[in-house]
Amino acid sequence: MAVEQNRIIYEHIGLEGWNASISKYVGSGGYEILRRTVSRDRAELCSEMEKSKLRGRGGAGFPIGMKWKFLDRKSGKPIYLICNADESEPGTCKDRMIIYQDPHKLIEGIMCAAYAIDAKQAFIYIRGEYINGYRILQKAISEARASGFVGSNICGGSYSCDITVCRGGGCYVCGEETGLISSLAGGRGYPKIKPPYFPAVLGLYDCPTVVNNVESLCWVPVVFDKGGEAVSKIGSPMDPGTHVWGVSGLVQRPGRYEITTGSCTLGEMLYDLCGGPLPGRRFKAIIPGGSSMKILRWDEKFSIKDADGNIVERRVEDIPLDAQSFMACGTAIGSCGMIVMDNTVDMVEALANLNAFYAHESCGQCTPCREGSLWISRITRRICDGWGREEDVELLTSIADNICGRTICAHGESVAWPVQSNVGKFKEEYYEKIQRQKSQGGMARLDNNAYRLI
Amino acid sequence: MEKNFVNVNIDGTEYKVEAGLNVLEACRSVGVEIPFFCYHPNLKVAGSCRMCLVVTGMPARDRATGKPVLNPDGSPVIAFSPKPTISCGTKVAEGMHVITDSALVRSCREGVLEFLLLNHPLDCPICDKAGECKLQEYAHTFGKADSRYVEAKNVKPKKVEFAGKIFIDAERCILCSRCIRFAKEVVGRDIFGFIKRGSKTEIAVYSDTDTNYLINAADICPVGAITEKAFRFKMRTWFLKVTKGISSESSAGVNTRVWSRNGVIYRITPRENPEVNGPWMSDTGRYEYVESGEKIACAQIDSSPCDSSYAADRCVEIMKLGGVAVVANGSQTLEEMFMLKKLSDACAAKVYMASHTGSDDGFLVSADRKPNTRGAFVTGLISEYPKADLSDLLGEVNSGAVKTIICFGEDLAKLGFDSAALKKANVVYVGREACETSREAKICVPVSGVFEKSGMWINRQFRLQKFEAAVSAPSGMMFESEFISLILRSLTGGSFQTPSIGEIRARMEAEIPCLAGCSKVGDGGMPIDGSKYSGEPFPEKPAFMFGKEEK
Amino acid sequence: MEITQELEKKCDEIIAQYPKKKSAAMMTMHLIQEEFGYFDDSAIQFVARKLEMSPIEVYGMLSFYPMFSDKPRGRIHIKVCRTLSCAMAGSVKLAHELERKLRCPIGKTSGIYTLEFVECLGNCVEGPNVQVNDKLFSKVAPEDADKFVETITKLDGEGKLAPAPEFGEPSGEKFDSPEYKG
Repeated sequence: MAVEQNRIIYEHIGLEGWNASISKYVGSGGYEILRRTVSRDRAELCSEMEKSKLRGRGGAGFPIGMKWKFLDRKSGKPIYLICNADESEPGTCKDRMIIYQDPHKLIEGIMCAAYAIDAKQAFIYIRGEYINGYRILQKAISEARASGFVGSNICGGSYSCDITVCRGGGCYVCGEETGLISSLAGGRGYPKIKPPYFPAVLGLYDCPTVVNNVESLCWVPVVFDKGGEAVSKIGSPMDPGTHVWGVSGLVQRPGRYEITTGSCTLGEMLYDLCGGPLPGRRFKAIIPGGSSMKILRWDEKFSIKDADGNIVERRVEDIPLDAQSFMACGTAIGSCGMIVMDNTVDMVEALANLNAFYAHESCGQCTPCREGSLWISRITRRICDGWGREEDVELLTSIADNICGRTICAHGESVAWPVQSNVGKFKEEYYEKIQRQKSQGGMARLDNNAYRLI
Repeated sequence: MEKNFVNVNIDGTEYKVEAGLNVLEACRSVGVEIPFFCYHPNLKVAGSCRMCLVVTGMPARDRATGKPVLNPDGSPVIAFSPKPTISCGTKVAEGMHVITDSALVRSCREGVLEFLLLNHPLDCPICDKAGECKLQEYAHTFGKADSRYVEAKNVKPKKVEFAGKIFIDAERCILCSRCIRFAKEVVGRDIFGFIKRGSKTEIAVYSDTDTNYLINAADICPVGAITEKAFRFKMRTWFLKVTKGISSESSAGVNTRVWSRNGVIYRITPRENPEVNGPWMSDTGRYEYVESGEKIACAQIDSSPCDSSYAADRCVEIMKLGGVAVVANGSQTLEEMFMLKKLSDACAAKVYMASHTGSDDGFLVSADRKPNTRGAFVTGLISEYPKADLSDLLGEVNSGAVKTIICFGEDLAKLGFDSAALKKANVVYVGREACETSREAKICVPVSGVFEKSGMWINRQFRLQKFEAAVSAPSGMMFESEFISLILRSLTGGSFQTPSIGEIRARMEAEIPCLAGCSKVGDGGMPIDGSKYSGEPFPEKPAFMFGKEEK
Repeated sequence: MEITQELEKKCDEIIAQYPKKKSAAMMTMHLIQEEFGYFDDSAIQFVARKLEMSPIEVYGMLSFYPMFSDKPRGRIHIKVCRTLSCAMAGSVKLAHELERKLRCPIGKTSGIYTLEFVECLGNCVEGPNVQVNDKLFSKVAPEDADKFVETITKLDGEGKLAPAPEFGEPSGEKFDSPEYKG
């Protein structure tokens, strides 16, 4: 089977002659769905969303319709919609293209969602590094406002809602929804304790708030147009729709590929679309969805129950591209930012690189993540610098176990999972490296610093 | 108020606990201690230290029918949460199961403690918090004997002095945010804040944003990150003896702990009283013990030293000449006022008092700067709120109607008397502080100071509160009540012994109806009926616990 | 720092977009950062006054978000992504090449340059990514470091390192494109 992309969200990205202006978007039928949406019944729209069974595209994979359903509508407080454009998970770069090249698609999605949940105001929290993305969004919003798609009396109807764009300041934790809310409310981006601060009840300004990812919001007009039922039939039943896979790392053709869930396997994507490993190399490991997900060894095999309940053996390259299949292999697709590593990559260096990231990005609020992330980062850094000790291998796992599940937000897992999986699956490489260092007496940094990853 | 209770299973035992409590407080209420750092009952929950993690579960319900799922033996199946939860941020609920002692919970605590100690300087030998430090305490319980940490420790600012009152040591800080929350929620503005990020986060202050409640931050700091400057390197806490005191700063009647060793007071800290001051006190109230100004060392007659009892005899002699006025003082204890009332009745002396007022800070420093003005009403010494000066008395002196003034600790020179007026009458000064009045006085009798005696005061809420002597008075000092009864005995020709404080209290109970039960008053004090005086123009404004919604 | 009326006006415009003043903190701070390049005490006090925050809160935010700085940075601020995808594409080596070429240690400011390692720039599929002021350069191979320095210095001279974006701008300037390869 030839692997084909199914461009729904990325329909305009990279098209010849396409640009981000409103004329192009309207010319291709844009904002028609919003026009029809604003006269529809809100309860029906929300139930369409629920029927679609679409999962959020930000990483956690929580069903979008459920998120809307949990909104506290009885409190009488205003409801806010926040578009999470703080795409900062290493390996993830799918939202960038939507923002830079098709901002009106996002704006239509935001306005459709805002109408459906009856939001008083919508915000886009865009990561600070996307400075031009911010400018493009600002320009696109003012165009849309001038055309009556944003602001007062949208599409001539009675609903009014404006979009405010706020820039982040270079903080990964602000991608966590409660951290984002803290930052947007004006403060350090500290995630909040849940309970009681579930955004659907006590979100921005302690009002009910929906926080959806860019790609998730782009799905909203699709669902409102085609109907939830129809969308739920695209791809795998448990994880319908498409995913934009951002494949980075050591493959021939890294890039962003939009693929219907379950329509192909990991191997098909990496070989057919991405062209396989670089010449003369072999795949060694992949991190499926953003660097915080658990790593998969390329030669790993899993025993999986198939649809008929039989136990079948599955290789990594046979894993179908959907959330359930990756879950069954003990990892997750996260935000679909796949990082591919080949046989030239030193796994200890790779982990040290990620540990440095998570230590730098820990907000410092709760103890295990704050102290643990820097500790493991210092240990892996020390091993890379040539001063490893055998006991460090067990120590790393033990520290990760002490962080995982004991923190305020999921950053704890993000710190722990790469360590647990990497050390667990490549243990012999750690021991080998440490023993080699010892035999060479201390400093034994890799000679070829082309592959220094830290 | 009716309290609701819920059934909670804690470590396999069923308890009834108050509804609405968090799991941490509920466990504590039945004697199950859960360790914590960032939680503080008077502040909002931060949930950041993760020390109080426990496992909680609720009876499982069938998704379809909503009915409880039962074990084969009929007991409910408990659905425990997959992750441990913070007990400070979780409310108890009917049927909840809590596990505070399991391998997982223990490993959580040990893990958190190990993390906290990684970058901690471990400088307990020179840390003023040693002995009352939560980190030290839990390290003893949950810590490992050896460290697994071989990396370099974080370097952060140390000994940063702030507002001349506290020192901040960012390396010792465990980032619990108690001081930040205290300033924000109790003081009402940001003083402390976190700067930087991750493990490099530091506790910091920006510009000088002082408050009279700053040192409370040192009290609530669970470690030695914020320490009180005045107590810095003065004494190890475990050598200090604690006595229960009441702040004499104002009519708020803040409950205090007075820390002393060998007759020397080293510091004063607040003593929690949820009805009065919560766990807080003002900074100014902490330094009442600091000796300022000259003290009267021994009794004097016409500036010549003499024995106290001789001075008392001379005092009686001049009192017998008639025309006696008494200047009472709102700092006197209830017992002293009661005795003084007897004395003034015995010699038909008119009682004068001066009010001392200042600005009301809306918190724990009230406008009436005397701790026991209401006691003067209750004992019958005064019947109307005193004026700010003693011009009435001055008139009486000038007219010759008053020939002798028995003055208790007031400096008449500051209340309208010039030197000539002070000389016109025979002034008997009874007090500890030397002042112009004591120097001009005919007779001067030194008595025990406020930390050297026990007694009771009635605060602005008409709450009767008792305090104990923290240190003993220097030799030659008499108790004020002792002096009063000495004179009273000579004056009336009575033969009674100097009554003990217990005897005075027993008599007060018998004679003043609203003081019934006062001899058995506990540490929290006792509200008495002051409705009789509600018409008086008391100067205090609503504040904190006093007729105002809690901040 | 001189707070001009124009700046006050810009702040007021930002504040007007939010239901609560404090919410405008991120954008106001970006404004100050862009205007002055860093925050001094007067800038902190200005933000605090404008947003009814306390200075310590503003300073707390300033030091929390790496994009804000309390020290002046070089006119050409080079941020090399050091996270895994870019690192595998050679960004660590690139940064060390740039360090040598610019005579500016990583993490420091030297003359008109500030060279920094930053975390993921969100363009992982085209690493190594380098952001210079507002402009993102992708696929900057370590061996092209010399060429890269030449290019950015030239662009700086032409005032093109902070361009107003054109619609349809690609997500980054591909440094392996003929335009730069020459």
